[in-house]
Amino acid sequence: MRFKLPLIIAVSMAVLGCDPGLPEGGNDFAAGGSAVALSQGEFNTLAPEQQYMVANKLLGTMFRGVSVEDFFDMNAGIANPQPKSSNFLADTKTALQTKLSPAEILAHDTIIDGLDDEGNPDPTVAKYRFDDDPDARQNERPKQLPLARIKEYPVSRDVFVHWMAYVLMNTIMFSPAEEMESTDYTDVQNMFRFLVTNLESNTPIRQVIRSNLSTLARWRVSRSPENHALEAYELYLGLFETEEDSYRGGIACKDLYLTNEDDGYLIRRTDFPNTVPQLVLQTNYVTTCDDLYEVIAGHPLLIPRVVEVIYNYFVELRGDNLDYRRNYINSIANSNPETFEDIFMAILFSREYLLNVERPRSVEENLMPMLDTLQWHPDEGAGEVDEQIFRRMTEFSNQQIYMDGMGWATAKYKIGRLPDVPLDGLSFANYHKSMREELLMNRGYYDPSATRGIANFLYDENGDVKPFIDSMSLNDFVDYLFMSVLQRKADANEKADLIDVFATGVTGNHLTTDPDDNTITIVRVGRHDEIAQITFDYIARLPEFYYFRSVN
Amino acid sequence: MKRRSFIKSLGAVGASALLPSTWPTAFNMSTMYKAANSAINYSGVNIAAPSIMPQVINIFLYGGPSELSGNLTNIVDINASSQNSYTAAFGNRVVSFDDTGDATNGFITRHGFWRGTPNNNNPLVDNTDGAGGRDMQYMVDQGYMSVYRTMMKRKDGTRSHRESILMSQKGSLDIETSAGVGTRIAAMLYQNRAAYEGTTTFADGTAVDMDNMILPFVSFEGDTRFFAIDPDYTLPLLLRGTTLDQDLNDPFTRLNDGNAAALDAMVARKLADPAYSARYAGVISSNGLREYLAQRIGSVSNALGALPNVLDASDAADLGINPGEPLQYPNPNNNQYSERIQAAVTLAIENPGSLYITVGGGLGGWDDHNNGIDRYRSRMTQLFRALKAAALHIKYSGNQTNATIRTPGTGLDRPTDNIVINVYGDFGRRVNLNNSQGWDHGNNQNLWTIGGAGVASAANGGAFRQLGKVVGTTVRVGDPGTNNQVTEPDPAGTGNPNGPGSYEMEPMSVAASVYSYFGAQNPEILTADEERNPTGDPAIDETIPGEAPLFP
Repeated sequence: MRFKLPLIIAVSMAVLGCDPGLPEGGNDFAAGGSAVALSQGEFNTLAPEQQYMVANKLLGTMFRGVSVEDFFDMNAGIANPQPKSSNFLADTKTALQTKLSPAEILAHDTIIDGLDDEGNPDPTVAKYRFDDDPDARQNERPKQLPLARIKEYPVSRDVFVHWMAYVLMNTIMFSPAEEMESTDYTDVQNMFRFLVTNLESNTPIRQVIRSNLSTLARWRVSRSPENHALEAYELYLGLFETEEDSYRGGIACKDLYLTNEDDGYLIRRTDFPNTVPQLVLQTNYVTTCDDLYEVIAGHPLLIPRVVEVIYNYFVELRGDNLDYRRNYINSIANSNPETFEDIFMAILFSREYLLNVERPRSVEENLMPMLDTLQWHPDEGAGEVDEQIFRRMTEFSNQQIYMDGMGWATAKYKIGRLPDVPLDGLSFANYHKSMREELLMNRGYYDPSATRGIANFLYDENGDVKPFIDSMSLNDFVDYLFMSVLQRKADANEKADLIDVFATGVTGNHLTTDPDDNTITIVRVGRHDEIAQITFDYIARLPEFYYFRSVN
Repeated sequence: MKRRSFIKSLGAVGASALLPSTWPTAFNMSTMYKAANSAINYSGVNIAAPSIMPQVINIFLYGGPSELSGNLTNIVDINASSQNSYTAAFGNRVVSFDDTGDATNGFITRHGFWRGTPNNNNPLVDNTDGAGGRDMQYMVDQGYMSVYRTMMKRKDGTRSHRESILMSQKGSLDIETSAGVGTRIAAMLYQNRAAYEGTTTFADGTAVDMDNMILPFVSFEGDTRFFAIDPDYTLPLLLRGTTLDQDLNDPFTRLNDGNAAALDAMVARKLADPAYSARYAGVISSNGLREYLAQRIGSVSNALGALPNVLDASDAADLGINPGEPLQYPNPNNNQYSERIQAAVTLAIENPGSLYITVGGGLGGWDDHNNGIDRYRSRMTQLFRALKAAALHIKYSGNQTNATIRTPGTGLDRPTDNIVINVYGDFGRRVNLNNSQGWDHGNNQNLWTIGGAGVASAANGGAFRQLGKVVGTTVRVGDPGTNNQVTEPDPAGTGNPNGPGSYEMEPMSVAASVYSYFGAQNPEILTADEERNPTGDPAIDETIPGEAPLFP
């Protein structure tokens, strides 16, 4: 029997179509023109600080981050930081194409969910807590688990797939529209899993959209034959004036309908299908709804529309240049992307995005990467950013970090999230307050007592200041704090002013003099966290903190 | 570049060989981008400043409500022509007159509204087999409201949500990269400030000072296109739209702000750099609004919940209370509109400087493609119960009828007949009851307009608004037995200034009317679009006589 085991594994791999631990995305897509990729060589020519900012822009877009300590060789100090790797971009790209093994996924899911022997979640040992409502229609876990996996999985194809699915689920193309009366959280779950499954297997865009058109989740949003046709034109082709085409598409779909609430909002068929061919979109005759789906999926406007919708979330729309937008979109669409991954990779790794785009960050793009850069751990009871963080972001309406309060709810809106991060007074106030007061100024996450055996960005597992920090000058320590949160060093004015606040601020004098040289000011013992708190308070007030910045 | 040119360039992407030559102009692909038309000529608005600033609450019913709740005048024909029977779905009384006043014989009120049977426990309230008609009829009878039944998109008959919403919220056919209605009002006021300052007061007698406006433009629906910026006109911070929630909560104030002075001084130094300020202008503006609201929110939120006494016997009798007893809004547990409408009305009453307030979103969708039987009627019933309370809230909070009355929250001595509430949505709906028991997108819709009896406008020949009437007549059109059936203005009606037929207006005329309330003598100039609507649209002619009741 011994010889059978490798065979079984080999067969399994063939079925799964993957080699655990090896790159499998195999993304050879390359866009030209405005969307040409940033090369590793170009990346390496950037100043170390700029490299760090770009690295966190790339990862931050995917809700992840890399800490100063992980990116730089701290033995070289912060004054002249030296990146640990000269291959960051290439390594990241490889990582995003490398699938975790089933054993690795299980291990991480076990940490996230506390899985017992039978694979059921066990909240008592789980790192996170999720909605546990037994009614699947009411259970908001489908909005929470994807965020937890994006946070906890190592940067990998699995993170990438989950993130792409999460982004797509929040676009008009795939929103399960949880706000509607005819939808519930099973639609969120089904849509997310539909997307993950298809993204994992690199299903072509046209095929994904073709499949989605017939799903219950899509019908629960469109709800009537005519509107199903109308929304298909709008969502996937970007056609907004289709009165006659919608009417005729509705005739083609006329034998389908959505049952009412008492009957569970299910798709049903009458026994009276259309038999008269209907001319839609000028050149296509359709008789059945399946015919219409084929027209949509095969339409020449579909790929440009998909590129455009995705692009809109990554480049600020407000007042941008029309030629710039057209060139960028055309650069990708002209390169004939076949999969969603092609489009996401092209945008994420483009020189234009990484070096030149400047736009507000969403709360996920700001808060979640900082969990990495601050080496955060979800200690129970520390505040809102605790083991229930993802419930608080998506479910608890009375919480400051509740994304709905920022106009940025997930999987909720019928038209998806608007591409621009909401910056109205109320949304921004909630965003600002959550970042400042619930994360950055909450020393419960980074004071020595919070360590509890796990190191953070200031203290080691024993609650002692990390040696490389302890040896820093005060100016370097301020730079370290700035780099950790803002990906740049403090300027001279900022350092001088902050050091003055450290010494004279309302929370007391956190500075002293070096016992060996009283001309040197140093951090008073046990005050690194308080200095971090003041520094972070300042940074949270800076408008640039809410942006992905350009290098140039 | 105009939008269509951009569409052409995108349409060619990856598909040029497949596209018929006519495609790029035949289809309005996508979405948010075209170069703005020539700048709006705010200086060209002829202003005759009102003595008292009007205040307008705009309630937008997202999704597009069926017009039937406010217009059953064609229901017999509709029922006979519909694919699915109205009488089977809604009962026989939906096609009969309520000539006894208690819905015994029918649900159609004297002015053609859709009422229901009186509730057994409280006969002053209809069950949800009606659609708000009882309260509509009451408000028309009492002169609190007028209804315009023929708001019809002739210039652009799109049935797309997006296009229709933007058309209404920008008051223009130029929906891309253009200013919202609230922004246009603000710019008109600011550009012509000399006409107002020294001439016009707020309702409490305070002189208008454009440099010291208090919450003039407020959204209760988050980020909204009503306040979309004008790319060609920069408004002062205080005149930009901002957002509040219905509880008037305060996420604006910073906690733990001990080092505020020092840290804010540091931030101010950064903002003094013009390049820095320009780079992060979006968040800087949002944070400015946050700070402003932090200073103002307390006084407003304290007023929430205070309600006036109902003095007149007729109103008291309609509510089932004694004259002199306090008004109550419907219990929010049973009425999803109550709290937000009350908050908006409270803000308008207690803060006369709030000039344009938008309410919508989060109120439940009106996109009733399916299950219209239950949901639609219930929502309409709830909405108009809340609106009736709002009308009475306004009436009994001002001194226009009783000099001793003060506002219930802060005791202001002011009239409240300068407060107007407009209610409408994306579009009306088809009148064929489809197989999913709903209605697909249509065009012609109702405008319900409440209050503002003390508001005059040039459009009305300088006369005050005329309330207590129903304007416009309709007919059913379309092939019986198909889904393609709608109501349209009656060609045999009267009042159309451009020829025979019923009076009718474009959705842009709602915006034009609001501009005229603020003193614009030529509001067309603010709705014009050089490409598609060069002459603009006039304000609603509120002098058109109302229709006679359907029965005595």
